[in-house]
Amino acid sequence: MKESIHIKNLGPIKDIFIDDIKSITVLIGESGSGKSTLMKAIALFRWIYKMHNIRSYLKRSKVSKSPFRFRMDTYFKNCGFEQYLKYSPEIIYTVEFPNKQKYAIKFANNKLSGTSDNDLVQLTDLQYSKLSFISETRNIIPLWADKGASLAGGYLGFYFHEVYNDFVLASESLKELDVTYLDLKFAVKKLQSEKKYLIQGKTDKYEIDFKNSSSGTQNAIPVSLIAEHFSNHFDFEEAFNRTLLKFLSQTDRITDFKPVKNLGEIQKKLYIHIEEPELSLYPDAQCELLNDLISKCFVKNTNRINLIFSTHSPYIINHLNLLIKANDSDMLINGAKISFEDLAVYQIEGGRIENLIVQNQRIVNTNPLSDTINSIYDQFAQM
Amino acid sequence: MEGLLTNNLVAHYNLPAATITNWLIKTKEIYFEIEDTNTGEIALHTNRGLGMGKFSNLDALNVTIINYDKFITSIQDEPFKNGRKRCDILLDSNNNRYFILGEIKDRNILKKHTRINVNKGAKEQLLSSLQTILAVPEIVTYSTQKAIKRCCYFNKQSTSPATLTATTAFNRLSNFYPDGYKMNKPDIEAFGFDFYEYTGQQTMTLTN
Repeated sequence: MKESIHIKNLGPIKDIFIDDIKSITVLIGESGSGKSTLMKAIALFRWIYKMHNIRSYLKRSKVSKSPFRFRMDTYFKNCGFEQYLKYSPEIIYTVEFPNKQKYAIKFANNKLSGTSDNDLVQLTDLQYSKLSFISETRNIIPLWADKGASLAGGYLGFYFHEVYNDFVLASESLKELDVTYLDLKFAVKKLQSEKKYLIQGKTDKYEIDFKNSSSGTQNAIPVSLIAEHFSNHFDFEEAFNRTLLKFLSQTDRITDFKPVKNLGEIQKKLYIHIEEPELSLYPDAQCELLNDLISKCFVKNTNRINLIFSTHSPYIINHLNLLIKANDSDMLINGAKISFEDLAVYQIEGGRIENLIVQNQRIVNTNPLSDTINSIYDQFAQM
Repeated sequence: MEGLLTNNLVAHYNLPAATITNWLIKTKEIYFEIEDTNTGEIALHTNRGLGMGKFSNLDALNVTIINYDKFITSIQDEPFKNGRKRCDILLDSNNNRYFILGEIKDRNILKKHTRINVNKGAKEQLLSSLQTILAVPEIVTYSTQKAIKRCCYFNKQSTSPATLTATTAFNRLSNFYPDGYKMNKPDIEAFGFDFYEYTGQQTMTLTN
């Protein structure tokens, strides 16, 4: 299955076309260049396609009345895109199967198309997916988890609550997580009715509340925890049944439901989107976090993962080359390797993207993130 | 090649005759480097480390290097020049092998009054130059005879003080790949040209 996306006039994005969204897609670019906008747009249209699949499944299972409507104004507001609407954005998200069957979902002239009854997904192409968006607001999780009960009704934005919900889901299935790259363990302890998140030192024996751990730990734990949960512990069947039940309960023709397929026959996909996984980490730890993430999602995984992340880190970008080389040499770097063919790295600049994969070698061009260090010493040399 | 500029390009754009001197370098040195000097001239060096664009020419091809920036600047037609981005050099070999557009950056940030977008600017200069010269039918005909057509961005690496290793460390990757990076650049590829980026010691190899 090949995914492509074409976005025009969406905030900082002027015209971006990605013909084939690879299993690992990395975005670099200055602050405000549009990395998050691109990632949010991709995540939004993947979610719409997911819901279109659910609707298609229900329709083909004789549930004639659609249990939901797409509300683009709400979705755009959640993404922080509402002010972009006046510039007539256009987004086309296309999924193409090996049999050449294509499904295109288009937003143009303030209207969504490609999700009507005439566009239903064929039985053979039905897919059930789960999306996770690990936003840069994840560092609020420890405090929110600690104070959340007293802040009932508080709202910290759509993406915070998305990542918080995934964190809670992951911490329910994983009571402990070894975080070797930080030499610590994350643990969940139930104390009467209260759940406590703890950080335990491995070499230096200590135990502190998650909220009192370092900023690097607070940023990294949600990334590793959610990645581990979705890669190896996510229960598709439970999630699928829960989704079906939710929508079937909203229709009064539940007896009409005649499932056309079991979950086992439906393709499953997990999409993880991460804003700057390296936040607050020392360079060595950044590289080790990447090893951990890639290992969890692409080496030790039981679920198929598609990963997109943004970064400002030259260490992360350079480390990608080491992981490509490891794969080419049939080796692992702390459990990680990356297939060159599965990787895309884009620089977003001036509202457009540039592919940083070197065409005549099996590497990523790291020069854009080396420019600053060259500039510093050019100026140094002139003084 | 120079006649295609002074005659055909000038005629195509209906420009006054070009009066320009000292804008060509011909060489068959087996190794040479090109420097874009602060005075707008281009200089050829056969010693390593003096120029930014590095060429290996082991077959001793007869190569002409044209100071394209100087040529465009010399044209006495302000509307034509106004806003027209131009790359530094054109490189042409006497056989039907090479047709190269080159942009040479020495990364002199204080001089350029900018810290960012150096790469982007270089690519825009190359693309704009392609658009200008390939609007001339005779140059299109000439270029189609060439086997290797490239737009090249030559990007000098900086050095840090001897006791620090920052720039060396950040720029190590290019040492593993001496032939430069071929990058995806659809706007340039649409003209039948490839886009290459050369950094540090990366060298363009000219062969027969």
